[in-house]
Amino acid sequence: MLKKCTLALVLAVFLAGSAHAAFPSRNFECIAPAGPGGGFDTTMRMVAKVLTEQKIVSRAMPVINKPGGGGGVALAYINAKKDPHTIAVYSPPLLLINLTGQTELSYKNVTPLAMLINDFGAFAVPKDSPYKTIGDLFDALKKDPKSVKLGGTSSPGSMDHIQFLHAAKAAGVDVKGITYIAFQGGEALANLLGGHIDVYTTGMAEVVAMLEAGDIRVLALTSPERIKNGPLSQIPTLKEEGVDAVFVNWRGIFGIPNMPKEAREYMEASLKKMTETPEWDEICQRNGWTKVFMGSSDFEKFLVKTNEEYKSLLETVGLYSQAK
Amino acid sequence: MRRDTVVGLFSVALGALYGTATLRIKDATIGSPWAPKVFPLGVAAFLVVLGIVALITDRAKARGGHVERAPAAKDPGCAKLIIGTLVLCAVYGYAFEPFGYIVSTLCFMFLLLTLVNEPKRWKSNIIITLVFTFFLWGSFVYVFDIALPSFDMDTVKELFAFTGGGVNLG
Amino acid sequence: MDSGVIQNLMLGFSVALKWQNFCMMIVGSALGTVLGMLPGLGPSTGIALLLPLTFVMPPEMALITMCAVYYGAMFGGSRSSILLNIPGDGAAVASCFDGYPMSQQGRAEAALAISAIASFIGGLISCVAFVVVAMPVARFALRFGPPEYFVLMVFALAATAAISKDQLVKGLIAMFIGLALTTVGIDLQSGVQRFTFGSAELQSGIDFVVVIIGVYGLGEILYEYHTLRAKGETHVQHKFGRIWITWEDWKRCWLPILRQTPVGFFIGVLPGAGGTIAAMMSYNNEKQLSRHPEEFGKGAIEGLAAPEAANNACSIGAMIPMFTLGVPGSGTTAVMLGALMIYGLQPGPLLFEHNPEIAWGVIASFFLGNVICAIINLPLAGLLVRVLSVPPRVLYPLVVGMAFLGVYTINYSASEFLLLSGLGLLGYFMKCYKIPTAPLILAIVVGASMEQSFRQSLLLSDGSASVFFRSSICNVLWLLAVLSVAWPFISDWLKKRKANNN
Repeated sequence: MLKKCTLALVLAVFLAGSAHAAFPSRNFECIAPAGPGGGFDTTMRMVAKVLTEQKIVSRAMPVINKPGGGGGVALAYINAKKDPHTIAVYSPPLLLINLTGQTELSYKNVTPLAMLINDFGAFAVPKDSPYKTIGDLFDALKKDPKSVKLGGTSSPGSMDHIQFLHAAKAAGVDVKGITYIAFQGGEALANLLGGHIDVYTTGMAEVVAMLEAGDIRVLALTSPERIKNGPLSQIPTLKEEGVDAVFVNWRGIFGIPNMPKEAREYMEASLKKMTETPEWDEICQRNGWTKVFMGSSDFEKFLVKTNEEYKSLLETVGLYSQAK
Repeated sequence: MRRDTVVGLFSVALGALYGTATLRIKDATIGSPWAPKVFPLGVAAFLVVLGIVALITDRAKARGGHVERAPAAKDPGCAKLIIGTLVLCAVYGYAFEPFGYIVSTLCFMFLLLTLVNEPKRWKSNIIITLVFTFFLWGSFVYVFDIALPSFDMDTVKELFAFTGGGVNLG
Repeated sequence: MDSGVIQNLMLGFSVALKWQNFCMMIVGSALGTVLGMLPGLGPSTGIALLLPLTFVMPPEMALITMCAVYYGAMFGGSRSSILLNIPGDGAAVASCFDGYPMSQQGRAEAALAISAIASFIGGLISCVAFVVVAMPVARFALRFGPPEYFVLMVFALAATAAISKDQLVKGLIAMFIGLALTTVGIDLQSGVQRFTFGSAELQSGIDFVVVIIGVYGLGEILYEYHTLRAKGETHVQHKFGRIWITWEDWKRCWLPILRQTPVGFFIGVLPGAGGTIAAMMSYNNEKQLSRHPEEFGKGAIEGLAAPEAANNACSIGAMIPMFTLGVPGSGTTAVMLGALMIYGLQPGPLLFEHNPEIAWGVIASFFLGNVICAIINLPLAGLLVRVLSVPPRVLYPLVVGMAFLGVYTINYSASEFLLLSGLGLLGYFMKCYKIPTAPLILAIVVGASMEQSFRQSLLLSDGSASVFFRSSICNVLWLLAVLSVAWPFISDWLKKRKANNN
């Protein structure tokens, strides 16, 4: 019985056609380009959950983790896909891993479908730090770039690093001399609490707990305007502190390269519908995400523009390199 | 060759090879250009030095009449087993994603069992292969919720639903 | 202990003992034990798999289930080390050293029993320690900056490489091979690719679980092929005793368990260090403290009890930075932290004020979970030990198959299968030429962070090496490192002198 069944299975597997009728004609494959538990994973799972639970998409949307290469492994995987039922979540690293030469693939190798979430950066110091405002910090950096040790999670040229450089450059600091020390996981926060590093550049969500507990101070956020709720509403933005800079950690959904028009429109419309549900509102609120929606073609234009911005910033610090 | 001579030579060769590869790493564009190479170069140097130390102590021991050789296999067929297993593993690695878990694992397990458990026990080999493959498939996909690669999940599920067994595969 | 703590604990127990939570604890412990036993699947995979549950469960229940999976996996991790000499995870490597020899001598029952008992005691003591000293210990651990970490890792490696005096040189060679393997991938400090040969998969480095399964698991099987046919069916065990230990065994074990538990606990509290270091260090310590070190590696029961107690203590200790500071102490707690954030809970000191029912409920579940794990594991061991009645010619292919699946789940990609085969060959070579594998494994686990802390330290000090001697923690650790390498020679010298005097 089992043997027969196997035989039938093998046959069926070989015969499985690739002809597509109306989209979606089969189950989706949702890629989180990182391990479980992080921002990518959470976003992808939440999107899949709302889309299926609210019956916006009738097919199943299992989430698959493809970690590695700062998202590069997943990018190569999607780039090779021919089936439009594959979608993935990405954020600034999609551009950065290309600009720092980790992969020759870029945003051009995926189809932007919709931008869904904005998140912002935060710059934190220990509670007994001599730097009371972001201005103090930038002044110290202007005097002696070596006097401030900047720490963040993941390697130079990644988001944490770039957002600080972006702000420092706008404040007139010579960003080339800034010492950036890369940590992994929660080590950077531990090192800030222990006073081993002077400044910690990270995402907003990472600093809330210690800020509330009074163990750290947050000097500024990279958002365009004040956060409305919670302890972060006490923190000034860079603009309020006289630094004309905003850094957005955008997150959106992408499809395979050259996605068929029908599939692209279907996904864009579904995601739009999703952002209008109260369930999505609640998820955004709980995770501290700023809800946005930017459709497929606007998102594409946004990427072109943002890519140029990152590129010039990376060139200034000498991190820009082209993969061969 | 004496056992530790091989170890020493291996260490020296590995250190040299690794050191050469280290020198070909690109310069860092941030901070000191040499920073990413320092640690690997240290490791390479230690491998070479320790290899030489191993060679010297081994020679001294051998002079003292103390010779150790690598253990010879008690079973002359074991080279076949080792090479066969490694080749099967490599082929499995290439086949796993394109052919999907079920097809590739059925082939891999059956061939590996044929190799290790001998062809004459083909009946038990087939049974073990089938039980192993489908038991793990079931527990990964339905208990642990880990997606395994397949040709076309839908077709597989439909087929399973069709052949029945009373399992709810929705 | 003041009455506040007791009151909080009572609150915690009332949460943990709710029947739904209690049931999930049992399910989690059992699932964790099973996952821990399978090569390649460890606590972090288990918890990652449970993440979707967090969408449907209330937070305290989800956290309790996750914790149960975590220490369930720690309990179960050493089963395959003892029975097959194939560790499922880094923390279980040290359990191979004496566990496997024991089961080869027909003492698998005692080995499995002591591993559960030691894990239980280590876990329980650590729970108490968690309640009493969590905050001060966490604060102290913050004094470990990059230089302190670097010296700590030097100490751990030196002690492990020096574990066998006659094989010091070969142990060091193994260690440096391991360190070389950890340099593969994108360098964290500069973003430069090293030894990736254009492969996207290699950019994030070689996962240490692949190395453990390759070198230990596959290498062991390839080596056993030497005697596969010669041994035939004679090597199979048919009679099985009760899973328990004798009074004699217990007398040898209680002190090692008690003194290695704090070691494991403290190493757990340090963010970034983990179960592997805890287990290896406690094994080294015990060997050096033992009155009969020559029995270690040949089935000394205390050589199994010490690392088992330490790695379970470590898993409880690792929860401290997460709960008190919001800093994950290991890959596993990082995933749990992610889960907490999904609920909009902020881990950190205020968790105890804002959500005492969750914080204390989870702590109370540590106590109960340890008891449940011990209860599950003893009868389960009676079942598992029967693996030894399967002839190797059938067992080995099954283990190889499972190892590949385990490796697949690390990155959900089969690209590591080739690497696994290559590492299997390396492991085989090392066994043939009697190169100890333990230093390689530890080097693989700590190597990457060791290099990073080295580089981070130099960045902090603008290149001055004096940073490695900046604090008394550093200096004490240096002293310990030197002592651990010199100790075998010193004790030899002492023995000789004593013999001469007599």
